[in-house]
Amino acid sequence: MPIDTQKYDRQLRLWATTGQQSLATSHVCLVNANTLGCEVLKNLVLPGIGKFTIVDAEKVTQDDLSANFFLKASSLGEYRAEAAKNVLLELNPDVAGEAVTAFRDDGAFWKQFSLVVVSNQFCELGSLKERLWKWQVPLMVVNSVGFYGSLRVFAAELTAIESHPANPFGDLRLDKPWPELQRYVDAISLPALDLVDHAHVPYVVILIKALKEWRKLHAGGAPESSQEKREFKEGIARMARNIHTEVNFTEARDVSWRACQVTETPAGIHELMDLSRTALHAAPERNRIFWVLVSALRLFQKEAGTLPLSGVLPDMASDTASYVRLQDIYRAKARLDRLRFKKHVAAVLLSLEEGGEVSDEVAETFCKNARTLFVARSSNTDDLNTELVEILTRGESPGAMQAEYEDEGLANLYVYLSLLANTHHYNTRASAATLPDLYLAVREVLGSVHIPAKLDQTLQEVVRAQNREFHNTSSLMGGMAGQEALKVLMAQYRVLDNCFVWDGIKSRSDKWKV
Amino acid sequence: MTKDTYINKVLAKVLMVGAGGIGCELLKDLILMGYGEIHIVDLDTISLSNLNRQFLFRHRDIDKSKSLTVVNAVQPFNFHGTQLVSYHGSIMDAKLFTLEWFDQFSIVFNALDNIEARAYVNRICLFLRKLMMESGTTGFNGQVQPIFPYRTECFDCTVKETPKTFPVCTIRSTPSKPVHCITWAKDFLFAQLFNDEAQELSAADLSKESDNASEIATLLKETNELAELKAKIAQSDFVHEIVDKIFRVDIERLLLIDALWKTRTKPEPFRFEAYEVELGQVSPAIIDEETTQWSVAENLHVLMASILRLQARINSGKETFVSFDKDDEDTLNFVTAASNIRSFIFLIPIQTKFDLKQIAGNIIPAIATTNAIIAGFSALQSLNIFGNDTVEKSRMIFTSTAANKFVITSTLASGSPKCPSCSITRGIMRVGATQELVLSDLVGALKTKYGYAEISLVLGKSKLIYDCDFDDSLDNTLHQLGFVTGEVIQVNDEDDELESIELYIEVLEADNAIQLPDLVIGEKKATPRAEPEEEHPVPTPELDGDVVVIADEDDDDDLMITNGSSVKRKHEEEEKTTLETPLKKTKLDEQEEEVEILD
Repeated sequence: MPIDTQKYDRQLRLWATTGQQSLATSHVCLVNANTLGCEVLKNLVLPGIGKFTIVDAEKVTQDDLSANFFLKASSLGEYRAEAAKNVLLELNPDVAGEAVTAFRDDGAFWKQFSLVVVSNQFCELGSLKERLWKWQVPLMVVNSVGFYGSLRVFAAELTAIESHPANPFGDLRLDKPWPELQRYVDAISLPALDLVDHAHVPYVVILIKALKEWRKLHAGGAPESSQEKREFKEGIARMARNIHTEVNFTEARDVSWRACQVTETPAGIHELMDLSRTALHAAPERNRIFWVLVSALRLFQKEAGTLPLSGVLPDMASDTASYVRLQDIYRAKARLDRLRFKKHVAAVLLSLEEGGEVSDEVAETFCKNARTLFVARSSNTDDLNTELVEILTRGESPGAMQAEYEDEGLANLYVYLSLLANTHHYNTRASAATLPDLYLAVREVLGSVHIPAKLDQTLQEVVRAQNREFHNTSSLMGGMAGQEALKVLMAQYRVLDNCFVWDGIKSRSDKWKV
Repeated sequence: MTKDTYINKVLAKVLMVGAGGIGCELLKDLILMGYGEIHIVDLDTISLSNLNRQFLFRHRDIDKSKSLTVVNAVQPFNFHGTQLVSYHGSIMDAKLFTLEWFDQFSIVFNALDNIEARAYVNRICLFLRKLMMESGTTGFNGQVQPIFPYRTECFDCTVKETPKTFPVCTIRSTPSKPVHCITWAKDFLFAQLFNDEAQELSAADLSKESDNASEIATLLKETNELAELKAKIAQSDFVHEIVDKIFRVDIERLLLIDALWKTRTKPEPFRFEAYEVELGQVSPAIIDEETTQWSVAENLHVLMASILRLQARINSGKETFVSFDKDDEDTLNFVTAASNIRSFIFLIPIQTKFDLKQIAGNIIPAIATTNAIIAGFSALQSLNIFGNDTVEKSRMIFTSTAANKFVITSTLASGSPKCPSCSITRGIMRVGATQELVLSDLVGALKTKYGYAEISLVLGKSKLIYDCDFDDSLDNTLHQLGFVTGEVIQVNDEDDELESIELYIEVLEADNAIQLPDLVIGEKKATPRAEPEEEHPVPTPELDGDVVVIADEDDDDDLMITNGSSVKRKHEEEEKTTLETPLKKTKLDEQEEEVEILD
């Protein structure tokens, strides 16, 4: 089905048609059509997922109506799954929906989903979690209890090629110009230029020349200390005939730090390339092409010593002809790198006894984003890791007890623990918890770790809420969960890795990797 | 929530300004929180591109009023029986929305899409000392800011980006960036040919922009010829004449002015004949290919096709003129193609229709999830005001996709001493409508009440009505001087000892006196800034590229915090560069970077 570019215009500007296509072919399962669950789905139906299925055996009660905007008063007594489905479908005719009113435990049913969202308490969560993990279906568990909210992502592995970094790295290779670029730079003799041309030499050329000079005087080294960087910067100002009128030199001076950046493969990308040796054969099906590409990247890097050039030249003061020439040099190199990269992709596919190749678009997108690939690998347990245990014990140290200011990280962790205890209790006993219940559950969650005294307050708050949803918290957490779900479905942006908690009483939040 | 909080909330009457992206979500949240009465103001109607996030609207609601539609849409879910009152109009209409009207609310929720209206509501809330919950989103980024007047930072305490304008000569004679050609195609060419309200620039206007007499003469001639062409709109060779005039004749004429091309690359006049064969082979379907770059012949095809359609629309008599609208395909096609051919002539990169629409239409990306999150924060923060320690408990909240950010909450800062809005003490002055009150009565009353030795008075933005050297109006009645409800008067101490104050004028029909508010007036501090300074970078979104600069007058989107000073500085410099060394080359289609250090 073609994408409605008018309707989705405002979001296509964020994730383009590739992201929208992924959304349109996704199938999301929601367990529990409570307020929170409906809010999550509303946020996915509007931007146009392909299909949703609601699993919920409950019927609409008066309580449901007072806090849920997606159940009509006339639906009282109907199945929640059915009633919510009908209202949600009204939001977007492009989306299909289904209601399932009895729990299903067959693999065929669960494996059809791109993502499963469990909203608040669900008795079968423990076993479902294990099975979805095994079947490699990503799971999000979102909670809204009184003024508290939490969101946890369970997925063995989530990847994104287009991670949309906030500060994109400029891949200019000023410290390692390739021969064609160096030749172009060398062919320009600054002293020989007339006034107009001198004032229009692009900063890329100025910086490459300046760095070459610097290296001559510094035994081949680049500026490293802040003192050296300052000297380098001042040197650029001196290269100008008049730094006040030559905008290109002013610009070169202002971005002199670019020349001091070392073109190297980020450590995280090295890790991924190492990981690709095993991941290529073990990764979930949805990530296989990602690891084929990373494997090819490894081969490319091994051969070329660098990552493929992105080929994007930023805006800079220059005359049109020089800029276009420079841009051609960058683009030509990027194209060559891409072709070479594609050969490696073909080789990897061949080694898998599949053959074939990737499209130019895929290769181009991957090469442009090669420095900012994103992978999140999470666990399927709720056990606190050492980092969290450390935060917890920090609060028990004698100094901390008298601390004048509250330890926010610790207080947020209490909220998380309380919600976790609540979920544990419900999942094993299927009833609202009393305070002693929660203490028992906390004991289970924490194992041998000491239960902090200050946890009492947040546990009481959870008991007070009686698993009732405060619509506002649900709406907020529905937005949060929706946002992360979109990232999972599109495999774009950096998805939450892997736990978020919101304390609406103190207007505070935190996120950790559990 | 305590019982008191609950009761206060049920009794509370609140105002929501804006029923768009944030507004739809916010209204739902406020209703389910059980607010007693909610008034909703919006001047906008629903369009198709709203439906990806404004969940209270359906396809059948397109072109209906937003404020009226939301109220109908929420009724089936109005479980707590909240009273809903909607208004279709501009919140800045002082006749419709008087100060007294604003005063009935306990909180004002701003869910607006433009800076002007936000700043206006901010000032109203300062006059009334009313809590304002300010909110906005851009794509995945958003923010909520509770504003307690005179206690915490107000909307104007941080400098906001204003829409960008370009020098006329850059647009008309020496474009160097795609945005220059887009501005030319949209604001000049399209407006001159199809819109009646096009502004005519006089020689005097132009001489402010250029010292080059021959350039001015050339530009004037261009405009006159265009006006003559416009008169020929009913004729069949209209299309060819336009293309020939704007892309060949006008360019050739510009080339005659040597001074323009001393340091610039010369444009190449367009030769229609060179593309005639290729033009014949263009597939008409190209017009719908939004994300591919069109060739010159394809642009030419789209240009001619869109002119024919616009010509037909006007000649049919149903429309006497057409205005540019990014959602009106004919106008967007025209502007895309005309801008691209001009870009080609000036060796500037060509844009896809999709990218060009964002620039020409000032489009801000928007999604459902961010709006849901921000509205949720906004509604939740409003609960704080019903308890104790309201300011201490309230938080400013930001969301972002940046890896280390996600959600950030921070305590509220106090107002900037240099803020043009909240560094001035404000109050409401009520004056009788009677003819007996004259200016000298007011001057006397102000001196007595506030202890000024000598004052000057400025009515509205800049009308000086009294100072010690200008006392001609003392015997004029306030009515004659233009004292009407909604107008503002600034009182300055001529001796520079006491602070200035600003008074909102409310004219009472039945009254015959001057009532001045009780204000505490301190000694004069630093002078409020006359021009925006760069400080307080708003910790905001990472904005990519040039597109953002032309901020926001979009009709249906939800934000704009825009950017911190670093971004602004960069672009200001960029503009300067363009003026001084016009050979500057800019790429828009590869919106890369500049690592911003937002502190």
